[in-house]
Amino acid sequence: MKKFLVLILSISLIFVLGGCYGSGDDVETEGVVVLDALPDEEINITFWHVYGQSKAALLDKLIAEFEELYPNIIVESISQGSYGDLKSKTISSISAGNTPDLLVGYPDHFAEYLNGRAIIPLDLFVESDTWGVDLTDFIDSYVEENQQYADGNMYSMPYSKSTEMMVYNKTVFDANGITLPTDRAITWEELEVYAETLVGDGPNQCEYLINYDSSANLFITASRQWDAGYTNIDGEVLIDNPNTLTMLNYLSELFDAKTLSLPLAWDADYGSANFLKGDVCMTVGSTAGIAYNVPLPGNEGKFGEFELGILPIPQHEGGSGSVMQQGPNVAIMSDTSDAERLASWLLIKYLTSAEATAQWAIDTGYLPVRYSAYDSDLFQEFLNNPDPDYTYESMTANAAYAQVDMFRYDSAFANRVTSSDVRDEAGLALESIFAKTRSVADAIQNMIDQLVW
Amino acid sequence: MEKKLQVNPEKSKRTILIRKIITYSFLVFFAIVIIIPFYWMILTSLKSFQDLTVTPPILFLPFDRWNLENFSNAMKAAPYITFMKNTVIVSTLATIGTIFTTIFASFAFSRLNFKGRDTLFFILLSTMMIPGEIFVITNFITVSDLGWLGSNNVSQTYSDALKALSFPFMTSIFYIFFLRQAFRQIPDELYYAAKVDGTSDFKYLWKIMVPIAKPTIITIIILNAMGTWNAYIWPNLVTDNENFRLVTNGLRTAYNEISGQVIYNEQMAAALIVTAPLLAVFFLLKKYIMRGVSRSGIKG
Amino acid sequence: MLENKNNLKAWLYLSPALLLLVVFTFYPLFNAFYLAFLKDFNFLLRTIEGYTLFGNFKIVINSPNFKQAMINTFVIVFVSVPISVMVALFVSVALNSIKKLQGVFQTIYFLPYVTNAIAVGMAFAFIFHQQYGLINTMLDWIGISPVNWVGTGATWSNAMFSLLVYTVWGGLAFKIMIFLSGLQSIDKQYYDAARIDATPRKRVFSRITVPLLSPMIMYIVITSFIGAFKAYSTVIGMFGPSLGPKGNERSLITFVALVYDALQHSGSIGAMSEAAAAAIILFLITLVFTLVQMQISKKRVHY
Repeated sequence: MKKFLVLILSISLIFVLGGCYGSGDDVETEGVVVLDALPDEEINITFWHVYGQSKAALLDKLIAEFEELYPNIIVESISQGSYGDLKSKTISSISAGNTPDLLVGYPDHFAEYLNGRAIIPLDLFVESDTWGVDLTDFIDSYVEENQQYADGNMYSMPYSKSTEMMVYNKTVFDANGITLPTDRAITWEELEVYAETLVGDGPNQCEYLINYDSSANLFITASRQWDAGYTNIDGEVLIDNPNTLTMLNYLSELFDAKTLSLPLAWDADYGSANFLKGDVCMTVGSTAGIAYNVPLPGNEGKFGEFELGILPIPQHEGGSGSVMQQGPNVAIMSDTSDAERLASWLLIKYLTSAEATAQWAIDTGYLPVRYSAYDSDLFQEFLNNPDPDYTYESMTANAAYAQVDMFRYDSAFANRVTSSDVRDEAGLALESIFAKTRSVADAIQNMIDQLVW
Repeated sequence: MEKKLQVNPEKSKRTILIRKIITYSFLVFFAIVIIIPFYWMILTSLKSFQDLTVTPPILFLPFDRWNLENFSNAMKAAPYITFMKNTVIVSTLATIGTIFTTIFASFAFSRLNFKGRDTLFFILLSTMMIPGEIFVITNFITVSDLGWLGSNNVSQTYSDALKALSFPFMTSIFYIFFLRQAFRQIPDELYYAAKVDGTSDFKYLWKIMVPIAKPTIITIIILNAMGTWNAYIWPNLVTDNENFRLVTNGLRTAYNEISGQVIYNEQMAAALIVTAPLLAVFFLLKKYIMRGVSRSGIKG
Repeated sequence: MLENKNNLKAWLYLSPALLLLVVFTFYPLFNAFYLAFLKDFNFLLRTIEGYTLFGNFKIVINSPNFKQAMINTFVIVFVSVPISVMVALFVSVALNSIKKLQGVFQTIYFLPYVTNAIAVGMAFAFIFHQQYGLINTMLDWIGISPVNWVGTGATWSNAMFSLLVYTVWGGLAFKIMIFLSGLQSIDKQYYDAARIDATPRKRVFSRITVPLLSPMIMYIVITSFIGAFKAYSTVIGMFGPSLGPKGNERSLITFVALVYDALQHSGSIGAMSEAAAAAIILFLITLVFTLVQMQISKKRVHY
C-alpha cells in the first residue's frame, strides 16, 4: 500500500516538476536585419568546427587574416571533435539557449536545426548591396544544396566540399594494353568488359576489378544514374520502384562477377589498403582521401610501387550523369545579435572568397566552392603544373573538376527518420546484398521496414 | 565434549597440496583469460604499421621489432599532459565529493532508523534502472543554466569547466548501496557499546565504522577514479575549450582527422600512457584492500 | 522524541548526497519521464502540441526493432549475469585462499579495468576471428571446422554467444574486486573456529563464506541484473554502432540501443518522448525483476 502511494506521489510530482511547455505556434520569429555599417565596438563571435590540429591551424591562419581586416571582430574558433559530437552538442545547446554564432555542418544537421528555427536564412546578406556575393560564381549544385530547404531560402553557404574519384593502377592496365579514356567518364558497362581481362589470379590481374569505398554513396549515386527514385525533401522514401530494383540487380551481378567490391570483402572500412596490396585494380573513394591510395616507395603488394591514374567515377551508359557531392557548409545561428550576424557573415564571405577557398583547397585536399577559384592563376597552376609533392592532389582536383556538372546532393530532412538514417540504411542494404545475407528484394524490403513506420 | 583434533597429518598434507595445485591452476587459467586484451594492448602499441596489418596477426614481438616511436608520436598528437592534469583534478574533486556524500548517506541508511528509510532507499535504487543517457541532456541544460558553460559573450572559464565536470559525479547511488551493505555488516553490539560509552554518532561513524569498512571505501575510490578516466560523452559535451578536456578526448579524436582510418598502434600507445596513472593509483592503494581490521575483543 | 531527533539527524546525514541527487538525478528523471506523455515535443523550441497517455508507448512498441531488442536484452540478462556472478565468486574465493602471489593475481584481475575499451574490442575481434582466431584454433585441435563468430554474415546465435562471452569477461574484474573486498572483511575468527572443528571445505564455503558474503552477493546480483538490462556499450564495443556483424546489422540490438537511437534524433520532433517512453518501459521491466530479487534476498541475506 505504501509503495503504491509513493508511486502516485511520484507520478504527480512528475507533472509538477516537469514544467510546462508552450505550443509551437507561440514561438515568435523575427526577420533578419542586415546592418548597413559594421558597428565600431568589439564584436565577439564563436565558430564551431570539427577540424583536428593540422586543419585547425590552417583555419586559424585564415581567421587571423580576417581579424586583421576587421580589427574589432574577435573570432573564437573551437573544434568539437567529430560531426556527430558537433551535432549532438549543438542540439543540446539550442535547447539550453547557449549556441555559437556560426558553425559548420552537413545539410541534414541544418535540417534538424531548422526544426528549431535555430539558423537564419542568408539571402538578405547574399543580395545585400554592401556585403553581398555573386551567387553565380559559386558552384551551381552547391548553391542548390544550400537552398533546398522548405521555404526556398538559403540557410547556409558552401564551405569545404569534396566528391568522389576513381583511382586506378595504371601499371596493371598498361600491362594489359588497356588505356582508359581521359576525356570522359568511363561506364560500368565498359568496366564489365575490362573485368574479363583484369579479374583473376594471373600476374597482371586482380581479384576484384573495382572497389567502392562508400556503399551508401554507391547506392545513392547509382540510383541517380539509373533514374531511380531515392528520397525527396519531404522525407519520403522512394526506393520501392522498378529502376531501383534494376540498379541493385545489376550491381549484384557485378558483385558476383567480382567486378565490383566493397571494403567488406576484406573486413575493412576502406579499400585503400587492399588497393595498395593489389587485391583490387581500381578504387572509388573520397577526393579528400587520395593520400591513402598512393603507393609509397617499397610498397609491399602484388604490383609493388605501381603508377596511379585518377579519373572521374564510373557512370551508367545511357543514364543520368551523377556523382556525389559531399562536405560541410556553414550557417549562422539565430540566437545572435544583428552585429554578430554581420560579423559572422563577413567571416563566411572571407572564407569563401576565391583566394581563400582556392588556398584552403590546395592545402587540405577539399574542393574550391567558386568557379573563379578554379579559374584563378593559383589554382590553375595547381591543376596544370603542380609542385611534384602534390602531383596526386592535383590529379584528384582535375578529376573532381571534370565532374563538376554532374555533382548531385541527396535531400536533407529531419523528420523522425532523417536523411542520414536513409543514407545509412542504403549503405547497409548494399552491404547485405554483397555479403549475401539478403537478396535484393529482401534488402529493399528491410530498408522500407526500418525507415517507414 | 572433546574437540576432534586433526588426525593423520600426512593425508591432510597431500590433500592440501592437491587443493593448492587445483586452486592455482584455476586462478592461472582465469588470469590468462583476463589478461589477453591487456596483452593485446601492449602488443599493438609496440607494433610498426607494417606489423599491424599482417595476417594472421603477429602474436609475439621480439625486442628488436619494438616500435617505440609509437609512444613519442602518440604524445605529440594531442596535449596529453594537459588532459591528464585535468583528469586528475576532476577525478580528485569528484572522488572527494563522493567519499563524503557516500559515507554520510550510507551511514544514515545502515545505522539510523528513520521514517521512510526503506522507501527512500528503494526509490534511489529505482533510479539505477534508468539508462544514463536519459540524464545527460537535462543535466547539460542544468549545467548551462548554472552558468558553467559560458554564455553568449563570455567564454567558459577553467573553474566553470571543472565544476561542470565534477559536480554531477560527486555522489552515486551505486556506491551508497555498496557502502551500506558493508556498514550493515558491522555488528550492532559495537554500536551499543559505543553508545554506552557516550560516543556520538558522528564519532562512531568516523572512528569505528569507516576504518572497518576501509576495504570497501578504498574500492570506491579506485572505481570512482576510473570512472572519470573513462568518461567521454559528458566531458566532451560540457567543455568548449580543448584545453579543458580529459584524456579520453585525446584518444578518440587525435586520430580521426589524420585519416578516418585509425592508427591503432599509436592509439594503443596513447591508451597505455593514459592508463599508467590508474595503474599507479591501484598499486598504491591495493594493500589497503587487504585483510580488514580484525575485530578481536568483541565477544565476551 | 527520540524518533524525531533521529529523523532530523538522518536527513542531515543524507542531505549532501540528496542535494546532488535531486539536481542531477531526480530532476532530470522527472523531466525525462514527463516527456513520455507529451505529443509532438519539439526539443529545440521546447514546445508541444498536446498530451498523450499511451501514444509514445505505442510508437515504441511498434517500432521495427522493439521485439528483437527485448529478446536480446533478456538473453543477455538471464545468461550472462548468473554465469559471471558464479565465476567471479569462485575466483574470489580461490584468490582469497592463497597466500603467495595473491598480490600478483589481484593486479592481473584488475587489469581489464584499465584496459582501453577499444583494445578490448580489438582483442575479442581477434579471439573470435574466423580464420586465425583463438577459439577457432582451439576448435581445430578437437577437429571442429572454423565457425563464423562475428565476421560478415555471422548468425545471430554465433554473434550472441560471442557477445555473452565478452559480457561475462567484462564484468569479472569489478565483481572480483567487490567480492574480494567483502571476503577480506570477514572476521578470521569464523574461519579459525571452523578449522578447529575440522569442518570440510564445502561446508565452510556454504555455511560460512556465502552467508557472511551474502550482503555483497546480493548487491552484486541486483546491480548486475540492473546493469545487464541496460546492456548497450558491450554491443558497441564488440560490433560498433552497427550493433551486429556486417550483413546482419542490428541483430544484437538491445533496449538501451532503442533509447539511444531515439536520443540521437533529439532534433526531430517527438523523438525525445519516444526515448522517454522506451526508458520507462525498460524501467518497469527492471523494477519487476528487482522486486522479485529483493523478496528472495530477504530470506537469504544475513547481516
